[in-house]
Amino acid sequence: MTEEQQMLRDSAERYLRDNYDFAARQALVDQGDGLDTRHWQAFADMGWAAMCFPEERNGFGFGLQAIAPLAELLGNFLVREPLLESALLAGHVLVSAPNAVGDRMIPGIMDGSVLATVPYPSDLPPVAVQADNGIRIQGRLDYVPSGGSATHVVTPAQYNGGMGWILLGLEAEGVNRTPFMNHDGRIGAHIELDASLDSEALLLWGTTADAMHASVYQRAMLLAAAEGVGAMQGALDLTVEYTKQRQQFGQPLASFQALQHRMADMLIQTELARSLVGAACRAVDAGTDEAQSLVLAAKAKVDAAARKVTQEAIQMHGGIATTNEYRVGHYFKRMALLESWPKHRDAVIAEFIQHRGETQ
Amino acid sequence: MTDYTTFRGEIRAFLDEALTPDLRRAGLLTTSVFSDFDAALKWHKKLHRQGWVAPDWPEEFGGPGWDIQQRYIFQEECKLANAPSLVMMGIQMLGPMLMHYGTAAQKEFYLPRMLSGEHIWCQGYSEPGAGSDLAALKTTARREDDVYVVTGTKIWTSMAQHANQIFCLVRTDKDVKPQAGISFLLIDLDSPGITITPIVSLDGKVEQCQVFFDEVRVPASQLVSKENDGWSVAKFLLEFERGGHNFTIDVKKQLKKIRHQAAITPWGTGHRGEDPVFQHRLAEAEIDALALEQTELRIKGAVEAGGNPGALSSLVKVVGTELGQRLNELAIDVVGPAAGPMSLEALEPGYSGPVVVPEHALTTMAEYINNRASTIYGGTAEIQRTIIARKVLGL
Repeated sequence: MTEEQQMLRDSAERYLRDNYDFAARQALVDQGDGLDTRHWQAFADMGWAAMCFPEERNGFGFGLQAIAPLAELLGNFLVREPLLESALLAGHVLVSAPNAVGDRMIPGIMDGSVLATVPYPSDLPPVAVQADNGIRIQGRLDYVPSGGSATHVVTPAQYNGGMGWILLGLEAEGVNRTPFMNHDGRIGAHIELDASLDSEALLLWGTTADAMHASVYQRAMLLAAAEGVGAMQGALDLTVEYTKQRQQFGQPLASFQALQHRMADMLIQTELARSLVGAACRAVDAGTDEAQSLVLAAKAKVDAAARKVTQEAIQMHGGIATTNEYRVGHYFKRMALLESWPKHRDAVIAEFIQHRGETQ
Repeated sequence: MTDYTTFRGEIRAFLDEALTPDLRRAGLLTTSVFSDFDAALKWHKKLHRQGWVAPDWPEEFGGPGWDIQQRYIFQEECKLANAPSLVMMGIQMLGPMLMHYGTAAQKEFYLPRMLSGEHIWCQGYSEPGAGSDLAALKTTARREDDVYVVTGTKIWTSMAQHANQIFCLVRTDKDVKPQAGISFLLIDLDSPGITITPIVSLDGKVEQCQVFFDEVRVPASQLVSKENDGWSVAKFLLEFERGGHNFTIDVKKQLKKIRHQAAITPWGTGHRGEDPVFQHRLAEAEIDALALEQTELRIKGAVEAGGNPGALSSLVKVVGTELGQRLNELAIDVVGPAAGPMSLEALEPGYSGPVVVPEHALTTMAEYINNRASTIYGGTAEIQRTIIARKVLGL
């Protein structure tokens, strides 16, 4: 990491440690709020979105190696506000879109006035066609992550016999969303589309759109994997801390060797996952042939490891961890959702098998 | 020789009629060991009228006089018909213990009220500082003439928000080794000095409470067995908590549901049930379910022959709960993003508003989350393994 990158990461950690209070987070979840606008603005002001954009778009032009440590922190602090998703995924499509729309949208993502999200990849994406000097789009997007908090969605669509990427303003006529609270405290949404959009809404098409699909969901996997590493570390740290102070049978729980070994296993899994995420980030930044296999490997490894680590964290805490007011179970819940985003581990592994074959 | 086929037919005929759609709905929406309380109580009263609410009780106390096989059939049919789960702390746990240890007056007063559903019991064992190390409990009962004055707190008290009675382990002697100074008290939750605070679980629902006792006066006649004999009473009762449950029935129901979920979840060009990776994982779970079933049958055989399941009940608790958790994982693996929304209102049996997830996914994540507690309550998986190591392996 460069000095600038290290500084951004350190200031992020300081901010989160001093301000990202878990009880306040939960109070907002209980009220049904999908994000804390105060934090959201602070994140944007600290440049977390800007770092994801290239310098020619007035961003910092950080690579994934510099962004992943921040994603880890977000996982570690159970951050719900999807600023990185907005910048790194939706923003990525906008960077490649015609300049006019990019120039209009990207500053908003950077300053936090726009929250753009990307849906699950679908076998049946909405259908977009040219109509009346614009675009007509019909179909539906299900379980859109943070769709209930977003201002925009950047979505793949069926277009002209291939794929297109479409920008949707969620306030537009014919865009109907049903928001709902997810188990991880984020507000998702189903979005039904029967809308007429400006022609500007068509961001990419043809082979560029196909390549973008691969690239966006590759980034989504990496981002989720990095967040997962942070969540695992958080669950492990809490478990170690708790078992050291919790007394049963006249001694700290952490003095039982059976538990020590299990915590050692949690650490092993966390570190293995961290290694793969780091390698995948380097490969993607360098654009090497093995990048996609490493990303798939990282995602599959984090999903399996995080499931185990967060479950073990609950088990070793005991009853306290099954309450909503205690932090550790929220890592478990977040990972339970993240493990099927953007696709399930079994699909990731299937793709890994295919890729490994191609690159060997 | 009982004709079990005829018996099963009788049970089915009864369930067909007695399980109204709202009761079945409550059963279907059950995401933990407890169903919606109102539905559970309604079902309890129906079963009571039929004489079947306490299948394990001897006839003299109001049981139906069924043998072990009949009880198994009844449990299985109830589960498969989506009957709500009954609140088990009274009839399944306290009842058998009172038959063994209770005074004539205690039996006469409490057992009929347990059967009728007038008394809803909860269990006051764990405390904030006494979980796996239960003997470290600190809630004290001080004897003053014919009352015990109880002060302290109990935690993870399931259903305390609905209960009107609690059975408690209390410290009556501080100067002996911990297990020797504990007594077993029956306490009316309406007694002055009791405060009940609900605890919100990870899935967003309230099933547990913390119960606070501040100088609560309990008649000395509410003591079960002798003063300072509470530890052996509690152990007797815990064996009913651990051993009285048949995990195979739950597991079979989970397997059935997962197969259904897989058959309607798209995967590639087909559905998830056709995915060889999923099939393999499901088959492994099915094989473990068969092994569990055969082990439970061995235990049943031993009990029928007059034996005691002993540490095998610990083995079954570990295997049954851990397999249940594995199946919860398989279910979220199948359901995917549809498991994400909380849908708390839609989990209420009477709810008729809009629902954001398909029916087959409604309970999946709540079950996955809630069931993490199954290897913690009723003696953690670690405690069960310690029991096996000590009692079976002699370590």
